[in-house]
Amino acid sequence: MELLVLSFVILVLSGLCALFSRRFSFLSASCGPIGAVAASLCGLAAAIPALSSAPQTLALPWSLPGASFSLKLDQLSAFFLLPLFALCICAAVYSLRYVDKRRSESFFLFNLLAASMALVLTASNAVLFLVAWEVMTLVSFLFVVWDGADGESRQAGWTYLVATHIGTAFLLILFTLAWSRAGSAEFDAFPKAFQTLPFGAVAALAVLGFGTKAGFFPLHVWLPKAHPAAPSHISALMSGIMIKTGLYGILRMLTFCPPVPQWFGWLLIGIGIVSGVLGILLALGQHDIKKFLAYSSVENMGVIALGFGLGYAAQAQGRADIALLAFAGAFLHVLNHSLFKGLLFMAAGSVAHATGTRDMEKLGGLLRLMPVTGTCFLAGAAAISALPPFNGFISELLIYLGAFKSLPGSGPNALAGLAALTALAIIGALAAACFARAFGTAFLGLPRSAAAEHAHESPRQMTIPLVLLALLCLGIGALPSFFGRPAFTAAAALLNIQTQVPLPAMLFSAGWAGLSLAAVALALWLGRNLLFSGKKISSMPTWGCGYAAPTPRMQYTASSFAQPLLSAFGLNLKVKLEPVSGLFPRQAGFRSDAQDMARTRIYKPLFELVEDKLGLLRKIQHGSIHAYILYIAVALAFALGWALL
Amino acid sequence: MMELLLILILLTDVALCSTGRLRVLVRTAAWQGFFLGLLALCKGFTFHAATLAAATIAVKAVIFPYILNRAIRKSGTLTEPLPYVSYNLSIVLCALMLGLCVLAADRLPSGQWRMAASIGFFTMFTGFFLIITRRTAFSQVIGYLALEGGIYAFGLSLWQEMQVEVEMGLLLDVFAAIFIMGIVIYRISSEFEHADTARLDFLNDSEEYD
Repeated sequence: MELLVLSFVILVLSGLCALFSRRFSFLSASCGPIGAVAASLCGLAAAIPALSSAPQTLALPWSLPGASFSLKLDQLSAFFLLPLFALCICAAVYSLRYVDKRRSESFFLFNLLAASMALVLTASNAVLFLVAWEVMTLVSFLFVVWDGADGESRQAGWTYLVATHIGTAFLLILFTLAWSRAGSAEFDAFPKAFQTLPFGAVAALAVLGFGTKAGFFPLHVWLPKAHPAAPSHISALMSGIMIKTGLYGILRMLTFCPPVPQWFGWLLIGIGIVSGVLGILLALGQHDIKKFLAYSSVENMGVIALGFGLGYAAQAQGRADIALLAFAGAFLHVLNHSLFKGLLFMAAGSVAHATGTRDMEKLGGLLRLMPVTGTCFLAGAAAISALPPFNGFISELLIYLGAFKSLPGSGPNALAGLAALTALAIIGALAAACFARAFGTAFLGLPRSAAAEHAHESPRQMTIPLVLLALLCLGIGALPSFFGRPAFTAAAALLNIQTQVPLPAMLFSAGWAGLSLAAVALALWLGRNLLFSGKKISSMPTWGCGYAAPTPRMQYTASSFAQPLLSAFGLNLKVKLEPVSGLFPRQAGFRSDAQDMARTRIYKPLFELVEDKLGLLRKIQHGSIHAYILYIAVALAFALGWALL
Repeated sequence: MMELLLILILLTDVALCSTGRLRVLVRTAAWQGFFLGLLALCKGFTFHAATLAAATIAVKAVIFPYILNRAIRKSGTLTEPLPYVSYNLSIVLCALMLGLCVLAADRLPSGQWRMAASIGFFTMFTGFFLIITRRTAFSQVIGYLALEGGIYAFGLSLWQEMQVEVEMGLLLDVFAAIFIMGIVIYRISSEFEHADTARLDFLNDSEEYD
C-alpha cells in the first residue's frame, strides 16, 4: 500500500514538475514520462504481491461531507492495476518522441490521467471514487480535444463529454441511494445498503452508468469518435485501461450484492454478444485505422462481458468450476486486450506520425518502410484475432472452455453457453477478417499515396514500447500457465474461493501448442533463409502478376475487402458506387462506409425529438437579462414564502 | 436609534423606486449606505462594529458614488429612459412588497431585530425590482447595491454578534463588482452609444433572433 501511495505521489509530483519546467527544455522533456515510468514500476511492485495477499487498506480523513481518502487494494483492484501500470510504462516511453507540441501540458495531463485511473481502481469511498472518476473523464476529454483545431475532434469531445456525464449521472443516483441507506459513503458499508435495494435497480444503474464508460453497445457511440481523436498513446490508455474501469465498476458493485441472480449473467451474455458481433462488424466497415481499432475495442469489451456473464450465470447455478474458467478467461482478456490494443493504437499512431494520414485507403506497402512497426502491428493483429501462439488465443480459449462445459444438460444455461459459443466463433472469424484487412491494406501491397511512399520508421523511443508489448503478447501466449495464474487468482477471489485453484490442463497444452507452432514458424523461416542463401534474389512489385503497366490502384482496397462480408450481414452500408459501364469505360469508383446503427437508429431520432420538444423552452430563454433575474427573484420569493408563510 | 435608521433605510428604498434621474439614484444609494453603516453600531459600540461601520460608509457612501458619478458623466446618460414599470406603479408595488416582507420576517425567530429583518428583506427585493424593471446599467448597479445592502441588514438582524470577517468579505466582493461594472458600463456606452441592457440581447446565442 505504501508503494501504491508512493506511486501516486511520484505521478503527481513529476507531472507538476513537467508542467512548471517549461523553461528548462531538458527537464520538461523528460521528467513527466520518467516519473510515470518510475511510478508505474512502484505501482506494479505494489500490485503484484497484492494479487495473492489479503486486502490492504488505507484511510485518511477528508473534510468533504461523506468523503474520506480511503483506499483498498484487494485482488480485483490489483488485477486491474497490472495492465494499467504495464501500459503506462510503454505509453510514457512512447510519448517521449510522439508528443511534439505542448509537451509539458501533455506530460502533466498524462500523469494525472494515470493517477486518476489508479485512484478509480483503488478508491474505497464513493465520494473519492466519483472525484477520481470525474478527473479521469475530464483529463481524457482534454486529450480528445487536444487537436481542437479541426471540427471533428471538437465534436468528438462534445459527444464524449455528454455521454460520459449521462453515465456519471446514473452512478450518482446509485451512490446516493446506497449512501442514504447505509449512512456512510464508504464502500465497506455498501453491502448492507444494497441488501435493502432491489437487485434489479442496482444492476440497471450500474450497467447504464458504468456500461457507458465500458463502451457496451449501444452505449458506445462516444467511443469510436473520442478514442481516435486523442493522441495515440492516450488512445492506447483509453482503449486499454479507461474503458476497463467501467467494467471494474460493475464487478465492484456486484461484489457488494451477492448472490448475483442468474438473469444478470444472461443479461451480460446478451450485452456481450451484441457488443461483440456489432462492434466487429462496424470495425470492418471503417477506413480510419484508429476508428477501426476503437470499434474493435467495443468488440473486445463484448467478449469480456460475455465471459463474465457466463461466469455469473454458472455461479448462480452452483457450477463454480465453469464460473472459474469463464471469470479467469474474462480477466485474462482484460489484461490481454490492454496489451494488444495499446500496441495496436501506438503502432497506428506511429503510422499516422510517419505518413500523416489515418485513412487505410491511402496507406499500403508500409511493412518494407516501417519493418518494426509493421511486425509489431502484425503481432498485435494476430493476438487480437485470438491466433496462437499469442495471448488472445489463451483468454478466448478459457472462455470457450467455460462455454463448452456448460453445454451438457439442458435448461437456459446450456442455451446461454451455446449462444456464447456461436457468438465467440462469429466474433473470432470476423476479427481475423478485420485485422487481415487492416494489416493487408496498410502494410502489404504497394503504397496508395505519396505520403505512404515516403514513410520512414519511427524513432527508437516509439518502437521499443511496441516491441515490448508484442513480446508480452507472445510471452503470455507461450507461457500461459505462468501468466494465467493471476487471472485465476482474481477469478477465485471473485468467487470467494480461498484455496489455491488448480490451473486447467488445457492451459499447459495450449502453451505447448503455441510454443511448438512458434518453433515450426521459426524452423520454416530458417529453412527459407537456408534455401535462399547464396542465390540471386530479385524483388518485384507486389501484385506485379505480369501486367504491362501495374499501378497501386489495381490492389484490393479496404472497402472492397469488407464489402462481401458486410453485405452478407445486411449491415446498413452507405455505398458510393460508380459502376464500370460502356465499351470504353470512364472512371469508376467504389467506397463503402458502415453506419453505426446505434447512432442512426437510436440516438439521432431520440435527440432530434428532445431538441424539438426543448425548443419550447426558447420562449423562456431568450437572452433578456431582466427576465432571467426576474426568474431568480420569483424563485427566491417562492422559496422564502414556502419556508416562512 | 435603530428604528430611526431602519425607517430612513426604508425611505431610501422607496426613493430608489420612485425616480429615474441617475444622479438622484446615486445620491440616494449613498445615503442608504451611510445609514447601513451606522446600523452596525446599534448592537453596541465595539471595535469590530466601528471598523465595519467605517468601512461600509467609506465604500458605499464615498467610493461607489464617486465611481458611479464618474461613469455617468462619461457616458452622458442622465435619466432612465422608459422603465418597464412606471414610477407610480413602482411605488405601489413597493408598498405591496413591504407588506409581504413584514409578513415573512414576522415568522422569523429574530426577536427584537425583527424589524431589521423585514427591512433587510424589503431592501433585497427593492434591489431585485430595480434590476428587473430598469433599463440602464446604472440603475441595475444601484439595484445590485441595494440587494447587497439588504443582505447586510438581514445579516445584522440574524447574528447575535456581527461576524466582521463575513461582512468585510461581502463588502470586498461588492467593491470589486461595482468597480468592474463601472468600467464595463463605460465600455458598453462607448461601444454601443447607450447603456441600455435591454438592447444588448442581440448578443445572445439564439438563432431565432431576427
